[in-house]
Amino acid sequence: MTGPHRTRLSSTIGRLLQALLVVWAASTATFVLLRAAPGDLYTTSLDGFSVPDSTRALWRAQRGLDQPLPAQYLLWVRNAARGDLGYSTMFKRPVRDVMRDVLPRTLLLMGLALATSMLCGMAIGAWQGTRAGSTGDRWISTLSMIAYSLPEFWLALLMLQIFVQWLGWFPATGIVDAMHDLMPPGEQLLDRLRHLALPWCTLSLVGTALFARFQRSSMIDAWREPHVRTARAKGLTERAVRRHAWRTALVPVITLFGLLFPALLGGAVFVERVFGWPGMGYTTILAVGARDYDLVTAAVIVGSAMTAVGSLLADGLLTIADPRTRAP
Amino acid sequence: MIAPRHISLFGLLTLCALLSGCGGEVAPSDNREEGGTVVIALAAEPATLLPPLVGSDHEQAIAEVVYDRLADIGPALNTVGDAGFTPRLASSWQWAADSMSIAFTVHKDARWHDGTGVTSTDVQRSFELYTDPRAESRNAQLLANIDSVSTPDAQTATFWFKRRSPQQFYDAVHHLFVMPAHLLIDVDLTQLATVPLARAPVGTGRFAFVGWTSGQRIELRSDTSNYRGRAMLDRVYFVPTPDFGAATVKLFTGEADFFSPLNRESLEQATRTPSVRVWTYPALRYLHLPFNLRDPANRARPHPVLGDVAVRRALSMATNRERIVRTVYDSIGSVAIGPAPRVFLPDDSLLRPIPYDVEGARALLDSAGWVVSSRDSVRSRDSVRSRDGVRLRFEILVPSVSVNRDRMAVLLQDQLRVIGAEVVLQRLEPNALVQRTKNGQFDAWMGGWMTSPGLVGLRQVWSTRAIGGEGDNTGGYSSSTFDASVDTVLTAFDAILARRALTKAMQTIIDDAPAIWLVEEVSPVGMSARIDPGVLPATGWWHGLPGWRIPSALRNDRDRAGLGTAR
Repeated sequence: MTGPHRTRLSSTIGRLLQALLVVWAASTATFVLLRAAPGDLYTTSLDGFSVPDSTRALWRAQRGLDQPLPAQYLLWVRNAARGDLGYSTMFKRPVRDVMRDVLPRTLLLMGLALATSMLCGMAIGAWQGTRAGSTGDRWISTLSMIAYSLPEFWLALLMLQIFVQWLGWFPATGIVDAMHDLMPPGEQLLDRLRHLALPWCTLSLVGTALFARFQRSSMIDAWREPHVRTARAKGLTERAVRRHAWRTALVPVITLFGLLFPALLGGAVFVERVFGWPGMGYTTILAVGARDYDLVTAAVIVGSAMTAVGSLLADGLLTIADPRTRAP
Repeated sequence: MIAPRHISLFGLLTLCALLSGCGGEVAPSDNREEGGTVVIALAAEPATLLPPLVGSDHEQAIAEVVYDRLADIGPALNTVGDAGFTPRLASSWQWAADSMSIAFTVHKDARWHDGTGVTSTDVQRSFELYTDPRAESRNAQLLANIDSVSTPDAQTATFWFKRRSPQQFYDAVHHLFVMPAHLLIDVDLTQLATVPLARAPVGTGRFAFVGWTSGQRIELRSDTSNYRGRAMLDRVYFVPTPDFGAATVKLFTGEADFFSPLNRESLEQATRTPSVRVWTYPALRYLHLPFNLRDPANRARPHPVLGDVAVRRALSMATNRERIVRTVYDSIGSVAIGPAPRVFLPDDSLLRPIPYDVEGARALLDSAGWVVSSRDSVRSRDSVRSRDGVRLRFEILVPSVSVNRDRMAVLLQDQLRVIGAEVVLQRLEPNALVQRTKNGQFDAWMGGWMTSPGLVGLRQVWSTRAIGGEGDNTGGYSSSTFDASVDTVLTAFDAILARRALTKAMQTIIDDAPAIWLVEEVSPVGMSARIDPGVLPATGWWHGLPGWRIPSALRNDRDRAGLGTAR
C-alpha cells in the first residue's frame, strides 16, 4: 500500500474509533445519569394507590434494578454486545422491536427532509449568491430569515391550523389513515403521501432556510475569489463560471450537513409529536418521562451514532469537494 | 402556454389537489340498524392489552371491550353484596350459606374470539395471573381478600374468600377480567407482558380484536356471534394522537369521531362545531392540597406549622375554592367536598364544609397565637405571621407536568398571602415529587386521587394504619373517629349503617382539615354528532361502547367502506 493510501486508511480508522468512543461515552453517561435521578419506573404513581414496597422490591429484582450500578452496567454491556438492547418497560416489548418500528419512520422523515433541505437550500442560496443585493435576493433572504427563526413546533402547529383545520387539505396526524387497509393500492400510496406532506414540509422548510443562508453567504465569498475572476477572464460561459464558484462555495454547506444530520433528529421530536408521527424522536421523549432506562439508552446510542455518521459523511464529502483537505 | 416559472407553482397546486382529493369511496347504502365505524383518538398508544397489566385509560378502553368480567357493576355503583350487578361472562352465581364462597356459572354460549369455549379453568387461570406477584399486576392487592378459585366442573368457578366482606362480590368481579387459559399455558410470569396475547388479545367481549399497527392504529370489529349479541357498531379504530392540539383538530375536522378528555380551552370550540357534541361524565377523581402533619425533619414530632389544626382550618377558610375551580376548570369541575366524589356520597347536603371566610381565618390564627410580629406590626399584604419564632411559611410541591395543578397552586399562594401565610411553590418532576412525599419530605403538595366505587382509597390514603410502610397516608393524618367510621363503611352489610358511617367519616376529616379539598373533575368528551352513545357511565366512557349507535341516515362513506354491498 502506498504512503498516501496508508495515511488515508489510518485516518479513517482513527475517525471510526473516535466515533465508537463518542457512542460509548454517550451511552455510558446516559446509563449512569438515568439511574442517578430520583425514583424509578416502579416508583408509585402520582394519583393512584401504591403497590406495597415488598412487591416493588420483587419487581425491581426481576429487572435487575436491585443490583449495584457497576453490576447493572456490566450486564447491560454484555447484553448490548450480543445485540440485546434490553426491554422497554414503557412499551412492554424488547427495545429491539420498538426501535425496529420507530427508527425507519424517523429515518424516512429525516432523510427526505435533509435531502429536500439540501437540494432546495443549495439551489436557492446559489441563485441568491450570484444575484446578491437584487430585489429577489432581498425577498428570499427575508423569507428564509423568517422560516429559520420559527421554532419547529410552532411552525408545525401553524401548518396544522392552516392546511388541516382551515383548508382541510391534509390529515392531521399519523402515517396513514385508519381505513388505509381498505383503500385500493393507488389510493394507499396517495394516503401515505398526504400524511407525510406536512411533517416533511415543516422539517424541510427550516432546513432549507438554513442551507440557503449558508450557501448564499459562501457563494458571495466564492464569487469574489481570484479563480472565478480568472475563469471569467478566460472567456468561460457564465454557467461554467457559476459551476466553478459553486464548487468552492460547497465547503461550508457540507460542514453544515454534518451538523444538521443529528440536529434534524432533535427537530423531529416536536414535529413527530404534533403530527402524531410515531418515530424515534417522540418515543425517546416519552421514554425519558417513563424512566424507560433501556429504551432511552438505546436511543442515545442511535443518536450519537447518527452524529458520528453525519460527521464522517461530512468529512468524506469535504474530501471530495475540496482537494486541499485530502491527506498528502 | 404556461411560463416556465409558473410550472412549479402549477405542479404544486396540482399535487395538493391530488393529495387532498383522495380518500372518498362510493359506498353502497346501508340501512341496517347495526353498523358504522368510529375512529377514536387516543392520547397515547397502549403498551399492552393484557388486562392484569393495563393501567391507563387508553389501555383500559380497549381491553375492557375485548374482555369480559363475570359481572358488571350497576349504574348506581353499589358495591355491597351483588345488588345492581349485571351478569356478563357468568350467567348466574350462588352464594355459600356462610358467604365465604361464591360459585359463578360460566355462560354456556360464551366463546373466545378464536372459537374455543369458555370454561371455569379460564377464570381460575386468570385469577392466578392477576395475583402472582411476579406478573407485576397492580390489581393484585385489590384481590387480596380472595383466597383461591376452584373449578368443581367445567362451567363452575368458585371464589373462596379469606373473610366476609360486604364488597367481596365486587372484589371478585370488578377487578378481574377473564382471559383464555389455553393461550396462557407455560408462560414465564416474569415476562408476562411479552406473551402474544398482550398485543393480540383474544377475549369474549362484543368487540373482537383485529389488528394493531404499532404507533398507528388498533382495530376492533363487532363479534357478530357473541353470546351477548353483536356490538352495534361494525368497527372501531383507536388511533394514538399524542399531541392534544392535533387530537382536537382531528375531532373538529371529522378525521376522528371521539376524543377524551377535552380541556377548558377546547370546550368552547367544540360547542361551536356543529359536527361535534360534548358529553360529560364524572371523573371519579378529586384534587386536593394534602398537608404534612408530621415534621419532615423528625416524623415523631408534629409539623411546626401544619401540625396545628387551627392553622389548617384557617388555611382552608382563607381559600376561595369556588374561585379557584371557576378560574382553572370553569364548567368542567366542581368544588370538592372531601376525599370522595359526590357520586359516592348518599347525601352531600348533610356535610358542612369549612366555609370561605377570610376574616374568620385571620381571627382563628390570632387566637391560636399566630400573629404578625411587632417589627411588622403594620399589617401589609406581604406580612407573614409567626408563633414562638416559627414563621407561618410552608412549601407546596407541584408536579411539573400538570398545568391545572400549577395554576391552582399559584392562586392558592396568592389567596393565603392575604392572611399572612407565606407559601413557596416548588415544581418537581413527578418521580422526584412522589419520592419526596413517600419519604415524608414535604409540607404540602398538589395531590390527586383516582377513586373507585369500593372507596378503599379512604382507608388506603387517610387511615392511621396507612401511615408509613405500605400505605399512602404520607401526611400522617390520624383520627380514631375517622378510622372507625371508615371501617364501618367498608365492613357493614347494612347499607343504611354504611351510609351513616360514610357521612360521619367525611365530616370528621373535613373538620380536621388534613387537606384543602379543591376540585372534583368532570370529564368532557368530544364526540361526532352522528353518534348516539346512550349514557356515559362514571366508570369510564368506554363501558358503553358496544352499545353506541350511528343511525343509518347519518352514516358516511367511512361507515360503509370495505363492507361491499349492504348486508
